[in-house]
Amino acid sequence: MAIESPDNRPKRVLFFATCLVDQFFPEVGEATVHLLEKADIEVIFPEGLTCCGLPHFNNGFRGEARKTLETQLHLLEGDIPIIAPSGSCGWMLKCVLPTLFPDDPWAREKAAQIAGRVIELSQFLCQIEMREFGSTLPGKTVYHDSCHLLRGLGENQTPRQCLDHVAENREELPNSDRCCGFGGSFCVKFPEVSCAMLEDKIKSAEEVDATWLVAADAGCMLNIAGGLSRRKSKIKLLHIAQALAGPHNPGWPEGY
Amino acid sequence: MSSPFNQRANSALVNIPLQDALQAATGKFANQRAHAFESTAAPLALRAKAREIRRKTFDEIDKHLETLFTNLQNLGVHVHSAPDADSAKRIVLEIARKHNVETVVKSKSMASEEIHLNQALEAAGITPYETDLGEWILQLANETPSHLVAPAIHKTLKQVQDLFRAKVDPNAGSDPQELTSIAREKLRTEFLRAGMGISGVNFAVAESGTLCLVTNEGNGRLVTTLPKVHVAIMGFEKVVPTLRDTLTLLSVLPRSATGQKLTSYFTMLTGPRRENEADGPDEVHLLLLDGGRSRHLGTPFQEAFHCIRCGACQNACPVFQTVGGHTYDSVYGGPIGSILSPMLRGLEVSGELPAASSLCGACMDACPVFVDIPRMLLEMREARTVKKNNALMERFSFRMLGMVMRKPFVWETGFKLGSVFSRFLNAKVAAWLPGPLGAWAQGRELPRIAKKSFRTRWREKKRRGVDSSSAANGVSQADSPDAIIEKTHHALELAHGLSHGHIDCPDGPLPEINVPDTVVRFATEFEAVANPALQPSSIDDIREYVLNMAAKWKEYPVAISDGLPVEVAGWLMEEGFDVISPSIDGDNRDAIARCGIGITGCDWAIAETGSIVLRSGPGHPRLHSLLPETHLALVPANNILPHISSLGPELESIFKQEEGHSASCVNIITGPSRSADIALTLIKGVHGPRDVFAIIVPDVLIARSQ
Repeated sequence: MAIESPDNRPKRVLFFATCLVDQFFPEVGEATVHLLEKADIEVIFPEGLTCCGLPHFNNGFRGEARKTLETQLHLLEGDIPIIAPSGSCGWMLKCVLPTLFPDDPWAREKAAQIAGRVIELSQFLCQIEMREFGSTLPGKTVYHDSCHLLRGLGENQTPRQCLDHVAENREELPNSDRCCGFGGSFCVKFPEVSCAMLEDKIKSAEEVDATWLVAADAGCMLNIAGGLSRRKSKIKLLHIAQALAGPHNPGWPEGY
Repeated sequence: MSSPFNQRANSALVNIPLQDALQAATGKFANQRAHAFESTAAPLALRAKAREIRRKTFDEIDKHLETLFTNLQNLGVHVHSAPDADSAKRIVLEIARKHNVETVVKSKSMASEEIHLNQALEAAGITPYETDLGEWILQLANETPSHLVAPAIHKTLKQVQDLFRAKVDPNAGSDPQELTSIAREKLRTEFLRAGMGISGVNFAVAESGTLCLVTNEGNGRLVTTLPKVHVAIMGFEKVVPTLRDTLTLLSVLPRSATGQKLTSYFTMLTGPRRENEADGPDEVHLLLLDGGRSRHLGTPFQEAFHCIRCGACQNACPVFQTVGGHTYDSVYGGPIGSILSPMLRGLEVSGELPAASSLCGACMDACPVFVDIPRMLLEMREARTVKKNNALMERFSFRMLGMVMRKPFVWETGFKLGSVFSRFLNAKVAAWLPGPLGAWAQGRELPRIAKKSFRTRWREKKRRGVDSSSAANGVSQADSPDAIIEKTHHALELAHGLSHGHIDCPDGPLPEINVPDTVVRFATEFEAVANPALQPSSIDDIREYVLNMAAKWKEYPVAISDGLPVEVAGWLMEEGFDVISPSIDGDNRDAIARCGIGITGCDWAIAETGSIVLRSGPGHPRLHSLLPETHLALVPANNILPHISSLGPELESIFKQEEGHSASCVNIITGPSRSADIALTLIKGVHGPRDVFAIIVPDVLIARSQ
């Protein structure tokens, strides 16, 4: 077991799987659980969790987002870290959730307490100083900065630091901080613009001849995966949890 | 039926020349911006300070506007207030009629675009000339600007050439320099005969009544100097409390806009021409346009007024980069435009714009004053829902989705059904469907809902007993990892759009770059923007430099300002040059316009930017450094200040003085007149000097010569 400084590690964490991971990328959830358990951390997954409410919040339905989160507050209570495998959902819980209950002191306090415990997966892995993942990623790896992890949570270091522990050859993706064109409902409200942005993203990965394109947000992945298969691109897309867990381990995509 | 934004976007996406231009331009600007802040001592602190200035201004906007108006009126500036476009146009036309104005020269003004002033002038029989090169091109083409600082960013060289051939000169070539010369000649005539100049305002300094213009071509200076009447149009958001605040904002504006440390000209206009000054307008008007602004003060959208119109958010925005400014169908395009347009024109007209963003936050990241555009886009979307401005179907779907999300069982069952359904649907079929599925499938394969969701797999894993624990929820006192929680960055605020976390405004003065030797630094920076600075060691050296330079313009008269550190007029007259001295009574514009070279002193110079600062006054006409093709400044070494901010006290002593002593105009000149409005090619000498030279005069030589 590759644990270097077990003192700073919590015994348990709560896994906020996010709806996209739950329903579209269950392997990402498995890879995350694998990583956490590898670090000797017990994973709690409350099955009543559905969605963080970001789709509603981003589309101007703050009230709906509030109601959705209100019904889940009790599931998130406690004092253990809450791990989000997506920057956008992490941002929603960390930065937006506490602002949703201005007139309800009880919920506001709960929300603030919950928000304070939310941490994105790669940030958490760096925080517990996990360095040995027991796997390597052969070929060339590039990382796409998801907008919400980069600019919502202000994080561009931890995903790279983590990847550097497993990637044989990690290069910077040109314009890695440029949006892939997902943007939630944006990608279906403005499909042509969104697809043009997506095309740019895929082209930059192809230009550097990347083997693995790694993202840390299931939203970006949904979009990029659709574009890659439409173009029949040979670039392989991975969530950072999958990249870190590595081939032959739980959560590795079928056919890779 | 695709939406209006989508229709415009689609034509932009297939417009190859536009795509090429957009890629080149936005990429270039964004790249230059990224490097421009490297020349400041503390870029983030500087921007945080600039944000603080903008925030505080709007805390007491009433007070600052009152101070501004009082100071303007004391200076003799006529202040007008227009609630809407119609009254604004009426006011401008009344002023024009009073002075029997036939032609108007205009420098870039977004406020005048807002009210469609040109059409109103034309309807009244007055010919307006846009004089910013890009704006003039658009006026010829009968188009609107597509970018805040590069209005003709969407036009290729070939398109400009064809336009010039059709409208200006049938023999126009294809060289941007040649096209620019054609524009210079044509517009110079108009400058000299126009009865009225109309400009925008970049900053209106409350404490001194100073109206500031940030320009590169020199047309802003000409518009506000040559015509007898100057009308400036602005919204209240241009107000800045103090001169020192203005210099801070000046340090971020050009860097964010074009990547320059300073633009060629920063012009500070303070009232009409003084009696003892040779040039400048006799009458100055400030027109304050409300145009839907004031109703947003004190609302979540007030922050949009912090914008200083640099265009950085447009260059950074992946949507703007993809579709260009015209797709927004508004005076203000791009991210900030998606807030400003619905604010000024109403959600009914521009309600689609706030949705046309992926909320990536690159705009706020690039914004010099950190305007939280993503937050306001969200607020705007919220306002749309509250006002029921969005489609009924959208409201219904999101409500339904919300209900399902709150019932985990229904949620899970729904996905299970969806999973089965999605097996029978491929993208080819889906592309024909209306709604989100069809939209998705246009350029992407459909995502597959997993046969086995994570929660199903989780249950199976637990049943297999691989999992070591069966705790329902991790409430535990023993393993409280406070350290971890505290270390996760910025807590509970809706800060969105910054790739570098939260920024606090520093207390006290901002750090400055170290300038150990002002002369050396000035010489280096001056050379970077203009020509090598000449450093004479004797009076004879100076004589030689001056005569050599004048010799290039042998056939032309030389304009010489009074009170130079070394008296050069005598030398030139000895050599047979026709010397034009400052006129005492009104300007001698035609004589100066004939000069090949204008020689001025230098009231101050700025080492960190290589700038020359000139104040107007008796014997110091504004036009000497503007009309001739070459400008030579004699810079006393002692007058070189290290930083832009060092100018603060000097400006205060000029502009805050009691009436009678102050100057009507101070210009910070950084290099020659320039433009990149034609196909992004840098051209010098658009409206002002093509060449600027400096002779640094050591103190000992000044003493010896006097």
